[in-house]
Amino acid sequence: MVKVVSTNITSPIGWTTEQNFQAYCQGGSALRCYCPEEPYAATLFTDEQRAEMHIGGFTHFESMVIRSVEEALSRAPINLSDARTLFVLSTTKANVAELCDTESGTSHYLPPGETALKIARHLGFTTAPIVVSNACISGVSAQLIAMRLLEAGVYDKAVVCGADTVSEFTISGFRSFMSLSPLPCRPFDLERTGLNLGEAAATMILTHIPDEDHALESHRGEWTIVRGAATNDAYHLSAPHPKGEGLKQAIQLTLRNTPADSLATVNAHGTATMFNDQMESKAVEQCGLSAVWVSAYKGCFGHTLGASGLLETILTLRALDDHLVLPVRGFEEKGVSGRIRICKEAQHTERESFLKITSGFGGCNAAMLYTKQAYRSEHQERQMPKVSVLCEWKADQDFSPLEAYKQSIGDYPRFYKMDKLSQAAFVAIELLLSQAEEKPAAIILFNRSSSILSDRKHLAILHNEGLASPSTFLYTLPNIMLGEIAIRHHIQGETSLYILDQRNEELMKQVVEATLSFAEARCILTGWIDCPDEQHIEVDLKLLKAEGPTVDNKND
Amino acid sequence: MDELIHTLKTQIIEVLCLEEITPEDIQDDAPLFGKGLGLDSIDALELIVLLDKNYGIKLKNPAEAKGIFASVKTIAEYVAQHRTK
Repeated sequence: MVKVVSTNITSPIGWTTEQNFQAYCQGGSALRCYCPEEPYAATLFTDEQRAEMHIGGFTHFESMVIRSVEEALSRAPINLSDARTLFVLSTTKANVAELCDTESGTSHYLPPGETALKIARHLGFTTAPIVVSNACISGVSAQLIAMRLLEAGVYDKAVVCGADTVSEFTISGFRSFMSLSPLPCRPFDLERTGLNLGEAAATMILTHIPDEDHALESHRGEWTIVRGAATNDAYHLSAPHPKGEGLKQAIQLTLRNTPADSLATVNAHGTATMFNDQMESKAVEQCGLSAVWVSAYKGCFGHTLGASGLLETILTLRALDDHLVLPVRGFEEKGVSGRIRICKEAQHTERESFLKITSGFGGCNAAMLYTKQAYRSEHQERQMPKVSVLCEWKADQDFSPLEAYKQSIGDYPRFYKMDKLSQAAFVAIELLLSQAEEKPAAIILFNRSSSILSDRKHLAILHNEGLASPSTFLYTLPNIMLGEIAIRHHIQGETSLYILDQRNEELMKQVVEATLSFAEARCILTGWIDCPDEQHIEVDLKLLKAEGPTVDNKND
Repeated sequence: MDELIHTLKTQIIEVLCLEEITPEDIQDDAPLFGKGLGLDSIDALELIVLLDKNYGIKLKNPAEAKGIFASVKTIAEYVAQHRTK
């Protein structure tokens, strides 16, 4: 099993998990209103806080991550230089704020994978880091892949950190989606008017504990991750499925037979947008969780994007250590139709398990179950599955997605709306699957440059026209290409994007095999896809099939 | 009005990347969303930006936009009445 040995939350209301928990309990929040001409509320670090955090030679984003990881390590020293210690960074946009400064010629921009490597080497890790970039579910996705790699026996320990900064880049984009609330947000409330963005970093240190009786006994009363799952709605790039079908699926895969009355809380995504909160209420109700307290923290921290899945999990662990379910800040009157029990005042609980749920752009959903009660994990055999390659597709040097689309596809006008990365993925996967007899149940892609072309385009539009384009901003989330593919091919399993500092076949193999060991999917589409600039496209994809049932299912 | 309608059609085709559609393909009063051109909510947001950028019209929320974006004709009528540039 995988145990949580230490945590940190670094936010404008505290430098530690404890400080953030106490501040939350006392009604503190750093949500402030900014920009009177086009008002929005957000939680931002003050200039003094930024200066206090700053580490010479590192950007604001990097400093935030390093501070958070170091603080978590201070209470659980582990050997970072060990070849079996992994660093996972969860972020939607990493150093993108530095890209805004390129014109001054002093840019400190690095792509996300290289940013993670720079941080990892500074901290003393010797293994290659993994960046998880699955929009708003990244923080839970990152825990999921770390847990799988630990359970599969590839690593013994993992440091999982989630972080994002707030800059003109994200503010202008969310503004063009009309999803920013001018006032502090009100999750699940009748009068909710949208989300607030927030800055934070949050870290969780995980270790693998052998599933032996004495080990289980000695760790009784400590937090462990039971299991998790990710799904895709295959419905829309930016709107969730109205009834929360994908989220419902993720919850059911995660809970299995876990009784609802063992759960202290369902910690929701609760962004305070009309659609998200409504959809979550339906999914929670349909999973039989109407009697479980629903908590959500964005009324205090705002939406901290890549940090949110970690920050919210950590705060829930800490609150439950004090037998508390924390109230939903900003919530007064229920404004969702699903029958759910929203926690308005802090509640006492003796229950020692909880569920974290989250959903994001690109149609992705994730759920994760945690417990303090000793249990024996289902997967006792650490065997990687036997994997065979069903078919492959590799781009040659003069691959042009547009030419290939016109020549061999031509019946999908949405193609012209996509950015180059999505167009390349779309065409390559179309051609790959045309020779396949089996449809993939999940997609796992890797790249290096994230969505750099769309990032630059978004900034150019902002600079030249003063207003962001919502469709361009959408593609600045690199996992949107997975949403496009999921919709086109009705793939409702897991869709994950990992960003590496360079193409690393060994690491990619570890991630894919660990996923095949624990995910439901038996047939996975995977590979490398990168568009570093207008002239170059690298695509190398495979359709893989794993033999036998998942390790997880053997005892079911 | 006819000129405005034609301009709007050209602008819509451009910002929504309707590659295989010409202004002549879009009927003045045919529905734009749902069955019509198959536009979705992201396209609606893009049209809101179009009205802001080109005509100085600021729509506050997508719900308000729904009636205005029924067809190119309804957009043209709204623009003619409310444009500030």
